[in-house]
Amino acid sequence: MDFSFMIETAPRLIEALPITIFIFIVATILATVLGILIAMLRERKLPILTQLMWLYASFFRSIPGLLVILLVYYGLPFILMVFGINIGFISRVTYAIVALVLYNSAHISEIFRAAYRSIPESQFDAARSIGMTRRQMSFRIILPQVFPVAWPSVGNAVIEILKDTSILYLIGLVDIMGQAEIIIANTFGIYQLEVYFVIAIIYWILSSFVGWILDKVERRLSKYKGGEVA
Amino acid sequence: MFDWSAFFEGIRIILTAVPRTLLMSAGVLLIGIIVGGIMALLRMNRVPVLSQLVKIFVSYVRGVPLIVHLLVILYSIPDATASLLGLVGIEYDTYNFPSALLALLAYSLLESAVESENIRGAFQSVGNDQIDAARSIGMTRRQSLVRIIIPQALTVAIPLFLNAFIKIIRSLSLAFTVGFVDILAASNVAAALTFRNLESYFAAALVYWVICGLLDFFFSRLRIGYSMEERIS
Repeated sequence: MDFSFMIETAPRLIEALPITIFIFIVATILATVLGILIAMLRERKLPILTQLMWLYASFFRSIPGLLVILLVYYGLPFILMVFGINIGFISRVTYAIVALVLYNSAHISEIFRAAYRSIPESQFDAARSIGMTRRQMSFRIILPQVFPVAWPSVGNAVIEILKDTSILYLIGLVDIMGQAEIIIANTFGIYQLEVYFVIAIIYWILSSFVGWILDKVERRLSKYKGGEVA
Repeated sequence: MFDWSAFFEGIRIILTAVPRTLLMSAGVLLIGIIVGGIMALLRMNRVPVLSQLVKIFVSYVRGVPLIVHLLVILYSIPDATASLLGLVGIEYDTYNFPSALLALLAYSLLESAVESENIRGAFQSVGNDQIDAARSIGMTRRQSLVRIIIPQALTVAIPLFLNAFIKIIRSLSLAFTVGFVDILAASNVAAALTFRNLESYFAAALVYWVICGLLDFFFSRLRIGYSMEERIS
């Protein structure tokens, strides 16, 4: 282990961190929104859409993240070309975000479905009986209660998304891992362990930080947990 | 367009890797449970230095992506083995380190951190009042452990273990970094042979879907049966 090299490399790796963080934040927001939508569609029992969403969730939950990335990277251009859309200007970042959203929204939808199921049936009847519309019921009764229940698991899923960003370099994206490949190539592969160890530490700090923020939010949300009358 | 013959050729190649992947997953889970159990014991008994070390190890494993772990292990364990053997005076080429053994070591090490948390959680789910009750009717520590705590902890832990098995099958898709050929790596081989990437990856997706979907279905059936039994008794 060459510690002086590790200290030297760290800034060069951190240079590439913004792209990782950008992909992580965009993918997290989109995956959560899509996950909630899928969970709602599956619970609404709409004829064909519910089955389609079941198929979607089952498919993306049973294949590994790397395979999703490869399928999107090789499959999406194929589909777009069939529709005659120019794929020349679609960047790798887009493919990466699409793949992460597809993969993680399936996992997140399952979390929200379980949280939704935890709300007693009587609350729906109560909301209906005082004349709430469906939309009012969703926004005022269901979602405020679903969030505190789902949050701890969603937090875990968010950290999974952060960790999933580490395999995006396999489709040629120059994020922090891609940068590592470049540094290793430039030093003729003698400092592999050092570089990857620095990356491990960066990811460790990053996910501890994200975990700390999620914990804070969880503490805030837990006030609303358990049918407390506000 | 979509080349069906390449797709079926891909499935044929991938299926040869399925037994190997399942066997490796089972091995990883088994070692993970054993080592994780020891780690959970260390933490639950608050063994001075070791429990802190386990805590740091678990945080490290959970906070760092799998592929980074694998790369760190790939570039450290074979070298460490070579220099250890060098001390005894045996010449050892690091390229000879068997990839299946390296994958097994790496994944079991990482899995043990996950399982230690699962096992700890399972033990904590058994209320303290039950232990007090067992002791108050005159059970010894061992009796209360074997008859009261472990059976209840297992009902919590077994579903977690089964889920972990499915997760390991999927996470082995990154084992190509240490040279182990699992389902996804086999589909890469197929892609190289047939020159069709998309078809091979679709074949892999189908195989994963069938395996993980079936396992998930059986395991959830098992879980329902389990919890029903619990409710009746």
